[in-house]
Amino acid sequence: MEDSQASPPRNLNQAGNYSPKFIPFELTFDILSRLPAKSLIRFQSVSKLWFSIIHSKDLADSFMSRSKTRPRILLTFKHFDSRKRFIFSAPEHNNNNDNNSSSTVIARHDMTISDLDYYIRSRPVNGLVCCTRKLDSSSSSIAVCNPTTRQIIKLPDEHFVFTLGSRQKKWRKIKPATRDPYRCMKGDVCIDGAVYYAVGYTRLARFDVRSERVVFVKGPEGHNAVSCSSAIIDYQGRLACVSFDFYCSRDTTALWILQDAEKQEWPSVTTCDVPCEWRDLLTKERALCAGEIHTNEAMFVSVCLKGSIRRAEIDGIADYEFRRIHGIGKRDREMLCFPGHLENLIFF
Amino acid sequence: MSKSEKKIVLKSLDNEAFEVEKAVALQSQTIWVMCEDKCVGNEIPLENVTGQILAKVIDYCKKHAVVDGDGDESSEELKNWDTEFTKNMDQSTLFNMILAANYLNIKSLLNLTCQAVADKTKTIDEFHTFLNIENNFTPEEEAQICQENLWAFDD
Repeated sequence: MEDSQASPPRNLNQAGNYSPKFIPFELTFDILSRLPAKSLIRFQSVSKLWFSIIHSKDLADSFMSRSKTRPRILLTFKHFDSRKRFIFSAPEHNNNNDNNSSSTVIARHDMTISDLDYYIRSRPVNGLVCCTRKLDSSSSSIAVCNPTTRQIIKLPDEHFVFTLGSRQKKWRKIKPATRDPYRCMKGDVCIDGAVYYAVGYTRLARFDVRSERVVFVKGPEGHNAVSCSSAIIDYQGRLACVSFDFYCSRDTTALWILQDAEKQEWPSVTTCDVPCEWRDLLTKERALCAGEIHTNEAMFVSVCLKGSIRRAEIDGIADYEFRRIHGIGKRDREMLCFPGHLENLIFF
Repeated sequence: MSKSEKKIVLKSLDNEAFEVEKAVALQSQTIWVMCEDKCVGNEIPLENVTGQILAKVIDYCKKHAVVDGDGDESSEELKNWDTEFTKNMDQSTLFNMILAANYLNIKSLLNLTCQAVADKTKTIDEFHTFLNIENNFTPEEEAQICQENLWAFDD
């Protein structure tokens, strides 16, 4: 079929190639949603449209749902001489149905917090890390940092609640429930709309996000169940305490699972032997890191809840080259590790 | 079904004609709808795709078509084929493949080509050139955004 009246096809350039003027918006979004965070930060200056897409909630949501399919481990340590805190992350280890195999992944340097004396006490939430700094005996300051965008923002000094999506778009002051000091217990968790954290040596506080009320849950009665060397984790949707006893002679870790939040029952304790060569690592290095990873294992440098332990190595954290570039010697401390870290493209 | 009904002719905007198996062409939702409508004969004009690009799209569809027990290759093999398919494509071909996959509504090809552009494009200028994007920032604005995010520019 010849169409003699046809005008030259539109959108052909000199070489005869089809060359349209614009790429449809949904295709731009599609391409952007496949890029890693670092590329997105770099491509903000491509055009004003790209800048607004990269800063949009839609792209952040799409980025977060992709991030949830490949959670990472967040690692951080402090270097005292330069007063810097380095933040790294690495892909979580996969189990691959071989419980006893060891595996190695490479860590990536995400962010450096400089000139600040911030502590990281709790695990990241949706990719954001809460940092606290004690100013003097009566006041402290809190900052939130996003290692994905390398941004940090200081929060107001008092205790406020802000409900996202509510009509009343402002911070409301709430009453503190207790004056007891919060113990340095790692792994604050949020399960079913409630945030759990430790208060004192025997109690756990449960802050209901909906009612904004705090109720206390009696901790499990085991030795050291609620302490500096234990952690609270979300174990398949239930609150659990994992503990390794640094000073006790038993080389075991213990796991308590809260069966009934109403009755405050912690009926069973699961124990798991720690190989003796690990004891040094856990006691001397204090490489205590706890939380659950996506394979339903709890992680202390990877302690398996199924009653077996496997070794997982992460390379590339402050290796020789990194120390040379950043001018840091071997003196560093407070190595922290948080599994289940997600990348979040939210900008402050 | 007679032999002729199993075949279909696709015509590019530069009037190149391709005779292909119906099962191959019907991976395109756009062509599928056109065939359902029966408002076209055995020849389907595709006004937005050149012969050069259409030939590549047909290659892809042939590989991914399931014809009478044919083409039941393992997903691993298909994946490798897909990687090779986009590996040596230049940026402008890749860009036109995205537009073609979008126009013809072939979801898996759109996924493949969008991912390839995302993986291959490394600089801001490449995006300006290949996606025909006008940089509407002033040089000062652009410099400021880059200055604030210097870390994202080192590899």
